[in-house]
Amino acid sequence: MKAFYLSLILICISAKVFSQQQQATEITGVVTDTSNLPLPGANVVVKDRVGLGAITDQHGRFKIKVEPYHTLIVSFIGFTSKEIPVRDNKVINVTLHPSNTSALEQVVVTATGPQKKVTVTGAITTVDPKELRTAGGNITNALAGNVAGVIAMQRSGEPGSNQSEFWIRGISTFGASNAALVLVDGFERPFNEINIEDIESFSVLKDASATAIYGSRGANGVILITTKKGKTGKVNIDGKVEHTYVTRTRTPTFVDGDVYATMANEAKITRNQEPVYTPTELEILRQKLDPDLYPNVNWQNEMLKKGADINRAALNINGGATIARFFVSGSYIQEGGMYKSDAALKEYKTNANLSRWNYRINLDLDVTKTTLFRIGVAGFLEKKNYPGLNDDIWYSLVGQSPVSIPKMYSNGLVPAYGTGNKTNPWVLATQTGYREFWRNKAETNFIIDQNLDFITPGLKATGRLAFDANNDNNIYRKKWPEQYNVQRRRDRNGNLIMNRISPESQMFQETSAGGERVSVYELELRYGRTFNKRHRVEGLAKYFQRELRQTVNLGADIVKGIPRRNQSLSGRLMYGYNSRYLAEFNFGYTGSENFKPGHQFGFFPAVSAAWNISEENFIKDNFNWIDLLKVRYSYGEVGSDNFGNNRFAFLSDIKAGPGYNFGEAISPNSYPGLYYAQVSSEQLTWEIARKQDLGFEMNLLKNLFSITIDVFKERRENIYKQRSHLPAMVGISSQPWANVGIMENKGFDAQFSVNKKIKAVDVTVRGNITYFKNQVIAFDEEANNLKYRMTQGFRLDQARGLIALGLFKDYDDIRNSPKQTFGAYQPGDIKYKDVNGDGIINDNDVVPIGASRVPSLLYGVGMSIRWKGIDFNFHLQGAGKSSYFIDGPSVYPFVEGTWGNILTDVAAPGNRWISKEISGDPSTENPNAKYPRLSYGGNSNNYRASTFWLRNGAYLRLKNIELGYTLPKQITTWAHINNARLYIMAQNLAVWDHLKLWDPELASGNGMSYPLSKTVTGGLTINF
Amino acid sequence: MIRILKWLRGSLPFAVFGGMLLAACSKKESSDTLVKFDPSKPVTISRFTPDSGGVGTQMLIYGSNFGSDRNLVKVFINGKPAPVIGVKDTIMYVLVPSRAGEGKLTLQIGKEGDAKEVVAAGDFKYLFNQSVGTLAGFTDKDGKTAIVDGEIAKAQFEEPYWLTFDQHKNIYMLEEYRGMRFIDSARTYVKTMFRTGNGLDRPRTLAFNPTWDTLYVTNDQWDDRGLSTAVLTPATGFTKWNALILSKTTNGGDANPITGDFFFNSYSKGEMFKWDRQSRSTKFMYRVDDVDWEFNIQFAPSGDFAYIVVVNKSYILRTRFNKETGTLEAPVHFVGGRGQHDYRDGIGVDARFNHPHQGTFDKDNNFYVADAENHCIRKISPEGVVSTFAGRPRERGYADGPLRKAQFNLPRGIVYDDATATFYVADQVNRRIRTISVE
Repeated sequence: MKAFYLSLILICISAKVFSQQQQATEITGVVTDTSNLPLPGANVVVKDRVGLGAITDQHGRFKIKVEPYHTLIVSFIGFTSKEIPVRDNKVINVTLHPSNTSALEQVVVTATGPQKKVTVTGAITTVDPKELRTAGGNITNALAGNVAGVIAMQRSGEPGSNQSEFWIRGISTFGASNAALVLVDGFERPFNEINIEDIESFSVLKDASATAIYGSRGANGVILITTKKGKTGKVNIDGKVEHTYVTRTRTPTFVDGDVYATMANEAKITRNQEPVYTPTELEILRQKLDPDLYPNVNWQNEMLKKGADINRAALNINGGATIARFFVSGSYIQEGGMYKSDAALKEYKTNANLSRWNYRINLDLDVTKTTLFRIGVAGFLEKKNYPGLNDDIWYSLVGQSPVSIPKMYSNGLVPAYGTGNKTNPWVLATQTGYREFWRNKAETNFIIDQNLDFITPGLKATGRLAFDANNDNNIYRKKWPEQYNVQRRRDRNGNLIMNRISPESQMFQETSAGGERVSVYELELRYGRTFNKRHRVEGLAKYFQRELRQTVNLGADIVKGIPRRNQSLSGRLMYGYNSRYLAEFNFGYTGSENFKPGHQFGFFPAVSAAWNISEENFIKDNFNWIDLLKVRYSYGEVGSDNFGNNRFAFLSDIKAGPGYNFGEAISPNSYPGLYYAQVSSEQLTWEIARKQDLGFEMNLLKNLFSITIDVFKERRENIYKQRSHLPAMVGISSQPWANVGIMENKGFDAQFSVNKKIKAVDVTVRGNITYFKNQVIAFDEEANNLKYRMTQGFRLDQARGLIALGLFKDYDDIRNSPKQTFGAYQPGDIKYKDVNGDGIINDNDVVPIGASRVPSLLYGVGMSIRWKGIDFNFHLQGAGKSSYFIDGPSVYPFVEGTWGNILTDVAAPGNRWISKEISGDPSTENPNAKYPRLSYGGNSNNYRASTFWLRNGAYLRLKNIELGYTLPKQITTWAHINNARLYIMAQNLAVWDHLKLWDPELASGNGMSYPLSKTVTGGLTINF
Repeated sequence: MIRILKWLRGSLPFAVFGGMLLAACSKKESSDTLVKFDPSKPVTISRFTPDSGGVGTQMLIYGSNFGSDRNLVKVFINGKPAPVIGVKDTIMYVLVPSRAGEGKLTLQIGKEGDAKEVVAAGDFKYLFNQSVGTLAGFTDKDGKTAIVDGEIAKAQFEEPYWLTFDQHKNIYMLEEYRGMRFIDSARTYVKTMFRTGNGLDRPRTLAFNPTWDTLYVTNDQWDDRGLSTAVLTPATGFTKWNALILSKTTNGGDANPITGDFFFNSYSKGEMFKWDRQSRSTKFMYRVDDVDWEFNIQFAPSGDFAYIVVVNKSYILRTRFNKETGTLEAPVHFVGGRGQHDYRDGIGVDARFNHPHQGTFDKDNNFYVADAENHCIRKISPEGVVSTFAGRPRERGYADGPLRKAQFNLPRGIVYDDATATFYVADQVNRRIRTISVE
């Protein structure tokens, strides 16, 4: 924090120092565009003079005091900036030309730094950070449907845990880790918490060629983020304030007490059992005459608020002179949760909530003419708050039936159905104290760029150093009240018979902490030169070393105390002829601690080539509407050594064991022994990914239309797996690790954009799609003569179950069908397919059905329209090829008797099979109903994984819609503001899906998780 | 730092957007309005339902101007106050008091002194039904108890397990692993006869001989030379036991109520034995089925036959007593599914039990057995028709009231007094002695 203030002061002082110089003269002028119309609001600054600048008025006029022989820089958004030497002119009129970035000029940030898009031979997706919109504080939620090549899904909407999981090109291994490497400014850093306004560029490196430089760390793909840096010129101040109202996309809806009780009776009667409630009891329940014994509680109303708030503010300042430039930013976000709180509690808060304060300072100093020194300091302080027992809330909320317990007994005692996750949800959310998570992270990096042109032109050296520290502290202050349950009936005097479920616990404290520090050293030598204007040669050599040291909670564990270290040497060679033919060779020579000394290093090469057809003369001459036409291919191997927490599997671990007892069963002659807790796996080696990528890029009609398509295939071999199927006769006492798995992953990703200016209306349409399909080739499992019972040969994590053929029509149908062996069944129960044709339906008829939980297809389509000051955006995002089972006490009615709420979908007329004796209508015995005949206390025939309960997880959602208005220049100029924009943005307004019960993206089987948020945001950005 | 944060939070101009949004999104919650009793208006009763029933019957009274304050309302059935549970303006919910008899239903609403009284049209007819009550025992709020003797209202039990009467209808009760308790015939006090120990650690069953001068206590343990059956006599007031039979794993024994022949079993071999009083030796009868068969023997009052209740296999066999030889004949599978723990009413082997334990006979030879893990009392007719007599199958709990509304929690023991038509139930986890009687 001190550093932040100090640098602010320094900047102010330096600004002052710079401004006290020679005598200044006043210069006036007019800034116009090519059609000679004045440009109000254009920036006029003096080069190398911090803070010295002016803005043109509504007639495009400006006035500025400058010493002679300086240079003016005139800039305006959408126009190419111009530098004009002042000399001794008093009047300077400037004409600006609209900027026209051609396809050839587009720059992409790659592993080795910014590079022209045309010369890239690897598969890289870049995203304009402006497209990454999200209302909360977590940028990962903007990935889905926005970035070609990324599969993402969000599994919770709870503040602080609402980040998305994501995978680059899907899941291609079942080894320890399939997580991508994320680099911020070149260093491995988490980006969940990064401030979106700080991001300058966002790229995703997908193939082996693009990631080879990172060696083993990049095996699952890389995300590269660079943060903004100071720019020469006037000091720019960007401010942003936002307020967001958050509600839930979809909360499961449950029946009320009347319907619940009637259905409970039906469930009993239809199975020839006595009903749960008598008509009198139903009437008492309906009339709410005895809320203690016959409560009727809508638990969601009792403990969930309609909505919550997110507040966000960000401020950044950047500017600088040629020798020193700075970018300073700070932002604050506060996300509120959905839980109601007890108004009586004043000392602390129980509602879920997150607040975070981010800061970043990037300083660039030209130490000499050829040396650039960069300092980056960034970090955040984050506080999260949760109810004391928040992990159980959603289970309890979904499970608690409306008639099980009241919110409070009339005698003032606190009700509970049970303990743990069966506690009264209102108690869980408000009466169990709170948990506080505090995290702070500091990231510092120092970079020296030395231009070595004096040795040979085009040679540069860069040294990088980073020190990061991360600390987190969790404080649990838990308590719970004395809780009671009540017997089913009153005694004969009408009194309740209470029994205590749990005694009171006064508030107590538990703490835990974590922390780590990371240091990184890199040395890089780069060479790039074009010979004869044709032959482009680039080369790079890089040494990398990283150490991650756990600093807290080591205990006596030596393994924890050993830092995790990586070391690698990597390089790149590139040759380009006229930007037309490009070839590249990359390699990583990387080391790992997980292998036996002598086998620790692996060499992983990648080759790639690209052909820019559009650079061929016959295209240039004949098809000048083609801006870019490129084909590229890459092949590479990448090793992965990620073992998760099972480090040093090449070592044996010997522990004291029970020993042997000489003599009779009970005798004093017992001698302790030793055994192998881990048998060493000396042969362990790299998990190898062989990746191929074929890409195609095209830009047409002056970038009116652009498209990129990539097809990929990856084969992972030597996937780590613990050998859990070794026969006992092998004679080892542990399950050793080995390189046993093989998996293939194929797919494609593509993106397109159409950019058109129709008079004053600027229209952009964007879209992207990612698809993958994996297949397990070899897996550590038992052989089975029923091939479909094995994992091998099928998709990873594919849903498996019986094939349901609907519901049994009648007893004849049952008699004429194969015998089902899971339990008694009647008409209206689920009928299964006899897959292996043996006349019996049992576990041998369980087959792979459907897809996996994680969607294999993700796509997004968006559109932006800009007209004068008004801009409008919308973005649709969808997922497909996902399926999962629904289950649990709310989906399987009355499976746990009185525990479990009933979804309104189950209760809806026509959705379930009802016997005609109950409904009086034969048509309700619908063999194609969505839910089977009710049962009470579970039904092992119906309630098991089958296509009956498999749900398609595909969805399409209106992810984002935004309307913005930029205030006219006349107003802003008058207020000395450069630019001001007001906007309203809404996220997740609508979703179209098959599930309909809760948000499909949660991929939750039982709806027992915090729903995703639906948000409406109002905000203002101002630029001075 | 904090200041900056506060300033940031405070200065956010939410007023423009956020305020509007908030206003649009928040709605006022409506609450149930409570109607007050209006003394200026008449109180009417349109009907009450049901118009007949026994103690604890839930009754709804419909009418108007009931108000909503339970404390202002009094209901009498045939002059007996009925507990008022819930009142709404047009409906109220009361419980039928015990032994109300036949008579008018009277309603009083209002403050003491100027209450309005209304009498409903039609009589309420009290039905003397069997209902479940509690004789003795209570727990603290966590369900814990201790072995406490004394006045019956203050006595407590830990593991009520097995019951029997003597000729005066005094109750002798085993508490599992604890000892034997005694409740006098007037049901006024409880005392402890003996505590477990000295080799009698797990008493399983009690049986008197026909002359009431010997009380057989079977004892379960794993030593062949350990105690199988002990006897107590009036000489010590049934407080000191003497070893009678030494054998292992005896789950139960019973004396023929006519001849006095004592039979007992062995769990580990699944065998039935007779105790020969003359030779003071055991005589092997037969093997019931298989080893590890946990069963007890319960003679019908006539002494003509006995039921073998197999606890761990949830079924019941019937064995005839041969008066000539004084032995038990080979048993026949009577009711329940062998080894199938479930709940189902039905006939014979189609019915299902879950760990049935002690049973008792009425004068028509119906057998009422405590179906422990179904938490209810089952009735078995001499023909083998199994029905549910009391309790809520598979719903454990503690509730008094009409037979099928009441709840037990692991009922183990049961005994029937024909003279008062009262059943006594040893309700193990509720730690109480329950009654089933006409009320």
